[in-house]
Amino acid sequence: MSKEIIERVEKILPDFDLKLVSQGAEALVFVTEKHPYLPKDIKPAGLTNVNNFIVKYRPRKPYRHEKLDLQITKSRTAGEAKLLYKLDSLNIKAPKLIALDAINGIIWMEFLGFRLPNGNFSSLKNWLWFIEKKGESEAIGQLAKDVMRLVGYAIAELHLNEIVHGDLTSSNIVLVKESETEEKYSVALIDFGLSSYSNLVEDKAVDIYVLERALVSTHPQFSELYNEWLLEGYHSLYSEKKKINAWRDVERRLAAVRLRGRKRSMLG
Amino acid sequence: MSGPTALYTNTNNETETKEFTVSKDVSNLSSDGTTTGPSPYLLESTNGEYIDKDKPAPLNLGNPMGVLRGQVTDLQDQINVFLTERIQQSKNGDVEEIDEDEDEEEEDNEDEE
Amino acid sequence: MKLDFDTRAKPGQKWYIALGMEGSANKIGIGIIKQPIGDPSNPENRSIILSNIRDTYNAPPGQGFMPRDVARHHRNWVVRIVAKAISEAKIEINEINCICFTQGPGMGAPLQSVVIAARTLSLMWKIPLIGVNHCVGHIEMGREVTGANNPVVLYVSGGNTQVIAYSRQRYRIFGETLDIAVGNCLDRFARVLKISNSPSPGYNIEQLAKKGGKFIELPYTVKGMDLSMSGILEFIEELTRRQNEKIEDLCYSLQECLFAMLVEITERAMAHVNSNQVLIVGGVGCNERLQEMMNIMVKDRNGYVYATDERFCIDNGVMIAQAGILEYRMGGNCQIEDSVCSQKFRTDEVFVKWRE
Repeated sequence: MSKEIIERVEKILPDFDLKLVSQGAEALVFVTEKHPYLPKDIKPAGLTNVNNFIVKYRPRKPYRHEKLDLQITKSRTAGEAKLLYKLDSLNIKAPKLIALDAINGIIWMEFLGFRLPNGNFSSLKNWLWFIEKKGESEAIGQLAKDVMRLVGYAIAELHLNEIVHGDLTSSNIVLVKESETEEKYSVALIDFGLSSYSNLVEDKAVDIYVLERALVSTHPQFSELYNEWLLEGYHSLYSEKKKINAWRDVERRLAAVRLRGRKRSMLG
Repeated sequence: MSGPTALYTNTNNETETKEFTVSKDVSNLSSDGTTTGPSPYLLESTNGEYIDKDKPAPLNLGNPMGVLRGQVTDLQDQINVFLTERIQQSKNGDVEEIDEDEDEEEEDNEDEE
Repeated sequence: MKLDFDTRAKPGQKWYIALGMEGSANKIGIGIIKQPIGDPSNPENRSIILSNIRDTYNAPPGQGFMPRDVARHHRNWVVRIVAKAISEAKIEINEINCICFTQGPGMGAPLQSVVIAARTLSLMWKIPLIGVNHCVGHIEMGREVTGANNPVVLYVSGGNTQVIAYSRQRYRIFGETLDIAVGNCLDRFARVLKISNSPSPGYNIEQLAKKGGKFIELPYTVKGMDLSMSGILEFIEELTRRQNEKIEDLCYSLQECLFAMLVEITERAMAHVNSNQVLIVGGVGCNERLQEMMNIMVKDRNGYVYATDERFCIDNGVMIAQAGILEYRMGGNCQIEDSVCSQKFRTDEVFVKWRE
């Protein structure tokens, strides 16, 4: 990514000391220690991490017409912020919204996750790689099983609220520490840039399928078990909520999606 | 030297067949069949002013391949007329069922050399 | 694994010659290429194009083309065009190693008329047949002409809109249209405006768009990696009927909106597979504005855009010969009974034997 983009965001947010943590086609994600509006000595309430904040920036796309670009940036940034707010009000674990600058394509949000003992960020991907290194008994141990079921449960929560994530990968799922003394984690979904409201079985099945594929390609050795646990967790919330028919619909459609791949067959 | 033939079989009723053959007289053959011109849609949409730039090249009856071309065009016309009639009948309910993607099997007996 | 491309070469053979036959839409194209023995990915073993003949069926203004008339066009021209391609290539028929034809995807009747011609030539001349996927033809020709070794491919034409990347011996589809193809969207808009279909509706829209400058907001519908265009078409058709906007501005805005969507999903695929090359193929790929927008996008990614000119962007026979010759050299041989063409033939169904 070109230096100009970084310079542009630094111009919009001077004195924030932004550290780039990831960059996709759509947005750049930074970490900063400075809250957007609270003075230094007042710590924000209700956040798990009061010292670090996430800044997500959607840069201008110079290839598209200025008017179109502004329209897209504004609506997507505002849409994502609204969704984060909605998730918070539904009590679904996801980064909390801190501030929004839709015109400039900037969202401030809660920093979720922690550093693993090997120094890497606690995304599901990094964590699975971390425990896979420790050997098979860890990689498919009870903790891995619990975490994968939590992931499935979290996705089911989203789906039962008629929201689909749109881009589930093991990097877009984060482990959050629940205890300082023992290994106890909760799971949060992040990056809702491609999310939408949908109650279609097709969209839900594709959502799960995309994650299944991602797990197969990034964790090929144990992906079969991981995917099995994932679905167990997903199923368990549907059972709790007595939505057995809805579960069966998703299960059946998922089988069909697996057969044909993500894409519908279409005319040439 | 016999010309090409075609055999129609109704796949819903295999005893119902029709054979198409060409006449021995080659003098009336043409490459421009009676049923192989521009579509009625095209002719109508241009109010009869359509200029056909895609006519087939004329036949060379002095050459066996040229004769075969004319015979196949003749055969195709016969088949088209037959199938169009059947589709019409099926629309009117005169025949039970028609298999619309009927294969026209052309038996090419022509020596290619 | 090292690939052997020459198991079929006879002692002393220096090159292969392929005849390619394309007729999946309103163009019939016959092309002949010659490819030296040895690894075809080596720049010194580039294919040599001996001839590339094409004829286009154009419907009258305001009309779409009927499959029956297109098939008739192909049927009545195929022999003359094959003869012209052979005479221009200055080769003898017995020098041809394989006859390659488009097996799909495309319109049924036109596909079939060309397949019948290919089978006839194969039987008559006793030369093996090779069935080629039309999209793979575009990709292989694009790679050959531009030298892009492993690009993300944007394939945009009247019948197709796909973002494709190669992985593990398949051209995988990362994103595509959920309804109509971009070329189809432009063609249908041209029909509403009664713009001429010659040389192509898209070209005429491009020329009008150059005179426009006012951007009219249209629905922008990217869904993840996929896009949808039927809503935009409906919207702009309605605007056209109201006659409040200039035709030039409508053309301009439609292009800006559609192409921005295409560039966006291409960028996503690039980020996904970590590539910085883009290859644009298909008829809409000739559009200079699309190429320009793509160039601006890849500049931010320090990448490069590869595009071909109208000889190869637009459907042609050479591309079928190019993909076919690769298949032939890896042992491909299509029996007559397997040469049935298919309107639906997905890019990712082809097992790409000639790449590692």
